Amino acid sequence: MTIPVPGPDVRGEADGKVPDAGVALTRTDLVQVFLRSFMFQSLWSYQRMQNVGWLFSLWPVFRRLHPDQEERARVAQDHAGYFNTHPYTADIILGVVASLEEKRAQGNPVDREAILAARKSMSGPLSAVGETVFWATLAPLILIGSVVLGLVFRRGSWWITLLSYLIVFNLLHVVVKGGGLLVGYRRGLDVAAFLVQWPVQRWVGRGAWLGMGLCLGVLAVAVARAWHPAAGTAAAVVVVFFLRRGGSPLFLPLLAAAAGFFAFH
Amino acid sequence: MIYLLAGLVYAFLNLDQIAVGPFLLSRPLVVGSIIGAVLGNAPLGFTAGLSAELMLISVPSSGPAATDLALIGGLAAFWAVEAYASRGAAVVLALLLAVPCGWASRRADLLIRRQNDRFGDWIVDGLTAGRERILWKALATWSALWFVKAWVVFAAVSFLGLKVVDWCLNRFPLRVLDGLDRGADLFLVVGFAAALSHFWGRLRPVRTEQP
Amino acid sequence: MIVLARIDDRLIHGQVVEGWLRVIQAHRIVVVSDHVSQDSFQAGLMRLAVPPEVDFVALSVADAAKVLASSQWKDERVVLLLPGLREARLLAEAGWIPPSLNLGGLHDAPGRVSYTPSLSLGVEDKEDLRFLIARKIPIDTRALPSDDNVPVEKYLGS
Repeated sequence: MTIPVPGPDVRGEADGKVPDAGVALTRTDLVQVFLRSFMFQSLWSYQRMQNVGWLFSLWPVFRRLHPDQEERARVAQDHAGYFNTHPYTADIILGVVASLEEKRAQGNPVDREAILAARKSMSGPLSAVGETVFWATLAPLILIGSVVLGLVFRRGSWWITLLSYLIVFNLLHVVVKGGGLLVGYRRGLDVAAFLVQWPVQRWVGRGAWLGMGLCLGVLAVAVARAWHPAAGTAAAVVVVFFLRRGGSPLFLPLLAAAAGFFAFH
Repeated sequence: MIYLLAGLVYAFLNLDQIAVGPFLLSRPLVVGSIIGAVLGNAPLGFTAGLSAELMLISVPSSGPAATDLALIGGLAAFWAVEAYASRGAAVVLALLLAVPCGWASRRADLLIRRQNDRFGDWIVDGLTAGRERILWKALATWSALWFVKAWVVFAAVSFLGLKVVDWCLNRFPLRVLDGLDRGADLFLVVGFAAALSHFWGRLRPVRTEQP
Repeated sequence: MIVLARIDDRLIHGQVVEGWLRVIQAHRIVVVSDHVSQDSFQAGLMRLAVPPEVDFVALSVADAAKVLASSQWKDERVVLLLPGLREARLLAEAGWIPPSLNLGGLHDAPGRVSYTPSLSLGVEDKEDLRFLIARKIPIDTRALPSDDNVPVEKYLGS
């Protein structure tokens, strides 16, 4: 039911300064933004959340576009408000804002309020996407996959699981961060049209099926190897039932201990 | 002193969730394995860490509802490895004790994080006054403070907790300990069942009528 | 029927999708905002973040008031997302009284005082809040379904 109109109108008045069409961000600047964005969660506060991480990450952009220190201070103050998003998808927003600030510094009529509004409107959905994709789907999936990998290699399997978990996940993490920054910078506000082409939710669904399948497999192996497979099966069923009914996972160690105790006696 | 050493390792890995990252270095599996390795029993640390990681797979590690998973993994591995009796019951007791510690630690952190607001104001004031190195200084200071806090908390809690775990291993009746040994055996089964429930929950969420 | 009417200035974000949608059965999410209803940039990104089985729609306040009055959604489970207390007040003035409101997130902004990590209120917000309370609308202040509900009157103070 939405009326299709072009993207948000960020045209507004530049602040009346003589435009410097020669100023532009270099690749070094973007690399610095990328590296600094790994500290995005630093100094997370309750009131303004990631605002310091944002300033820190974008600082190379402000330095390049505003050689005058007083003006940099004003820009910093504008960008110091509340901000919160997922640390991995944040780079997309950093890229978009970097490109918009660059256009503004080059004299195009881009309004800072509109830049900040675009930043805010991206932060919500991208935070949801980040949570769903990385924390709720990829991390558990790669964990179970790594356990399967460790099971396949019998000897010394624990460090195979550990390394696989860390390496596979972080490869994806770094690719999404770096790629996101580039995509956001190159496309600016058209990044939304680009992002919506990706069937993210479908992959998430498939990931969940894959995860469930792998879990069933590993569970079967774990139960077969348990001291008492029947008790193990019963414990697994009880746990799934408990969690599906809304039980808190924090009680699981207690449940497992109780299960073992009562099964033994 | 093993408490200080383990605390150092934990504080370092904890930086992954409060300063740089997150790179999964602060997950219970990783913290547990590395602390186990440092204390000389990596496989046991790994098992404790993996059990914690699986059982808590649906617990968020960031945001207001979170629990300090790194602490749970680290403490569970520490107590499992350093308990005076290397039996399954030690792993059980370690994890049972570690979970409330992780929960309490996050609650305490909430109070500390309220101070971050002042830090943030200080930084913005500094930037507007032209002191641009303040960003680096603030982040370094803040990371250092959290590092020290994590180190001290881990050393203290691991010390006290080990006393508790050893006391339990000494004083609990044998039948209880034998039962707990069996419980340890089931930890991974319970963990994988929790992971299964997590994925199932994403496909067919349990929905309540009214929140 | 409206199963959740949430006031959150971030609209669709992690807490809503992973926190609330996981717990409530919803067929449709409706964002009630004049800005978003005209902005395919935001609407597109929000659609990306919402699970595929949930329908997503962005309506202006006026359109939403009409649809709510027509009880077009009486057989569906609908989550209503409002960017602020003002929208809730406008809907109430247009004749729709929600069975309850979830004041889930008003974040720090110029002119607002921060009471909790998810609740900051400015002068106008408080006026709108008093208006809604006067209409006997139950308002809960949980950011996530598992949070404790602190009575909203506590934040009104003076």
